[in-house]
Amino acid sequence: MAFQSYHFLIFFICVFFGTHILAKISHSLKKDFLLLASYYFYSCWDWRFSGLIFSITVINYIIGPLIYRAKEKRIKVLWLWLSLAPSLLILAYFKYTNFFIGSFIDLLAVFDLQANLHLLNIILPVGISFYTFQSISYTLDIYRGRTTPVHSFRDFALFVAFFPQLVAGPIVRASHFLPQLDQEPAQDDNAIESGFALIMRGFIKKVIIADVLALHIVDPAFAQPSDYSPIFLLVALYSYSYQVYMDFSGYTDIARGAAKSLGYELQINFNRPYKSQSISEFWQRWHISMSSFFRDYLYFGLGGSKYGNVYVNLVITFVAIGIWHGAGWNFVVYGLCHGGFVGCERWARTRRKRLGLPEKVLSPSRRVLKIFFIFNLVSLTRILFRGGSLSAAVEYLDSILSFDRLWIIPLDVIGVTVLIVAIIFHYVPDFWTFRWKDLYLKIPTYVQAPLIVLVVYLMVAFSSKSAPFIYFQF
Amino acid sequence: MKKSIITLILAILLLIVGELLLQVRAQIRFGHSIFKVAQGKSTYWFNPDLGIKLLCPNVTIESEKSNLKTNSLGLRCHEISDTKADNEIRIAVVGASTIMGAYTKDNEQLLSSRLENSLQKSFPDFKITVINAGIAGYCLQDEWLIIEKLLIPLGVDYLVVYTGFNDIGKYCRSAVEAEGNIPKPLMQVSAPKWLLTVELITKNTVFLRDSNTRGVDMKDPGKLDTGDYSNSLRTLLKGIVDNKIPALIITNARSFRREMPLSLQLELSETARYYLECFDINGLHDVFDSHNQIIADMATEYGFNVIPLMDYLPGGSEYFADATHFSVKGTETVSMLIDKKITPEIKEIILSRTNN
Repeated sequence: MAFQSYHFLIFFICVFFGTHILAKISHSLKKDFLLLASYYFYSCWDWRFSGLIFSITVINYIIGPLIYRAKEKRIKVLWLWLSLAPSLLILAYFKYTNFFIGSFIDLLAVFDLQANLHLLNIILPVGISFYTFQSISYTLDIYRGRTTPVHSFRDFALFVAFFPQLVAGPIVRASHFLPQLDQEPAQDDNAIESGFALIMRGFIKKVIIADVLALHIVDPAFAQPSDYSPIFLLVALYSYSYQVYMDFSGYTDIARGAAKSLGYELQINFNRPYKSQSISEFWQRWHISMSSFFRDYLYFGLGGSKYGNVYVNLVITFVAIGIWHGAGWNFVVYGLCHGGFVGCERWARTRRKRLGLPEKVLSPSRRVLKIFFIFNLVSLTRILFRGGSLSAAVEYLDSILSFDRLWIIPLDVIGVTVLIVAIIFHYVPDFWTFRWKDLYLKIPTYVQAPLIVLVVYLMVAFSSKSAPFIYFQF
Repeated sequence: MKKSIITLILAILLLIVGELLLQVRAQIRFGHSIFKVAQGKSTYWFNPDLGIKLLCPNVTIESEKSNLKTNSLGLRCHEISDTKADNEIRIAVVGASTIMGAYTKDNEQLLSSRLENSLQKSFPDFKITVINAGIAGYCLQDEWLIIEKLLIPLGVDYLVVYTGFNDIGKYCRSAVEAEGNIPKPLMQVSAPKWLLTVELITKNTVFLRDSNTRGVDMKDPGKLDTGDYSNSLRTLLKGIVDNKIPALIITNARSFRREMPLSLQLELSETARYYLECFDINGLHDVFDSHNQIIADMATEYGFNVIPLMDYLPGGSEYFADATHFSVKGTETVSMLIDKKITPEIKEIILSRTNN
């Protein structure tokens, strides 16, 4: 069930009123209802995979207390691996089997060998990377003593399957979400209104900005880069950076808004990533729930900056981030690039410290230049992200660098306008955003309601060719 | 009650009120709406005996745009008796919404009525009956069914076939169905077909989804599998030949033309791009032209007379009410064209009947 569908509109209205009525009777009943609704939501993608979420839930729910109760560390480690292994194997099977088979066939071909191997017909369950990571964060947190096992199976199942964030995050930590299920959420009117405002903002980002950029600029450019001029391809690359940001942060806004209106808080996932002055800062602002997951559970697990070689640890972490996004060598190279950039930045910082030099203070104009440079660097690596394969990425890069079709710049008014709106949307100062939000909360009902209707109408107008959210494929 | 809940309820009510107003507008302008459906009065009905969709028999649907009167057979036409008079020549014009007269106010202004009047003047000693066998939404298979089940039993002497564009829409629908084949979702709730809010907004905002580039989700007309289309057309033409009915086949015309400025093409083609959303403007030209070529080639192969209508009927809003439906002037021009083309053949039919 896509957020931008009629089905979701009806579903959400039913769930919203259902939870508010049931919450008045019993908080427990509300959670039962939310759990059922979440499984229904997921089954609308493919009912067979609801069994998959259920299995992952049961495994982690059973093993969580066993880790907690184990006295010896090696027993704790054993239980931890018993919980991680099935979850990661399920993820590996669905997401990476064909990648490994394909790579093995390619490797044999290099030596003129042939294997009787074929790619398997596997359907990738929507959101598997998100809910697998979410459930393993629970056992990892218990192992590290950051949280205690949850008593109620229903609460744990709801934590794993909670529909707003089920298919594309944010990756919620057990320590953040489970306590919210314990206490009765306050029926805060402001929170519900803020939730609606977030939902509307998310839809505007997705349907009116991301999808329009895709239709008018990005998709044609990436489908046939050799047909267009380098200028158009460069604009398409920048547009893609905004498309993917608006698409994913739009989804997060809808997820956070839906959760908020139901009485739950999900964490912020984006913090104006293209304002970053370094690649390290970019990863602190982009998909925060995922990058912090890899930082806390993989990078620190490998030793971080304390044990082993910090640069090797960084590269391993970023390659893992790369292949978390997709099974392909392009994602491996994407991870290597970002790992390399962050490693270089770290080396420069460490060297400066070692030489006793003070931290650089940049003038505003140089800061702007640096932000622009980092944005270009991020956009350039997105060719690997969007291209679909290494060869497609090379073709795109090659077309940017060729000067054959200098004047084929098929930009139209709608595409350019939306790109400018996207840039303004991203760089608008924080205090303006807060002022707009306050203003929205202050306006009377008879103005708010027509605004909601206007957003619904705009969605209908723009969404006839609306694409699925980009991060659903991960 | 909380402000947020009141806001949500008010927004839902506003959406419902908006929809109701659109339904009232549709009732006034077109004579059909959800209110009619709720009363069990639909514009169309499925004839179980013949196995075809027809208009509801013996109804008058009055609206601002058209006064649609149907006969007892469920056709937008005057009454046709079961038995054909000795001096009667029956001609049927078969097609979809263009022939049914989607933009024609009264039955008297229909293409079939105009043709009947002009032919009657040419053959005053005979009773000329032109049956309007056009039903909106018809594809080639439906057109053959109505010929086989309804028109042949009525003893038609001559057929005029204007196939229309509905079959081309199948290329867009099949793409959607194929994509949804692999996963096994629970039943999806989609917007009901009668919901006018969605239809009107999407229909009137096609320009928002226009692009200067060929979209990746657009179909390439050169790569379409036209096998099903050709088979359906062959069934239709072969059926007519087997039943020894002379016929005139007309290829499909459209208001937007390649030689027009792009902005005008986009403006004129809006409804076509709404209904055939998997083709952009160039794709529409290509797909329409290639299908017209299939019609012309196959009709010639079976020995029918063919009118390549694009050569005779100019494009633009003077001759078309939208992308593909004729305006009053368009209807008049096509009617005169058919009259001119079939008069010698009608003469032959009369001659052979007199000789017999």
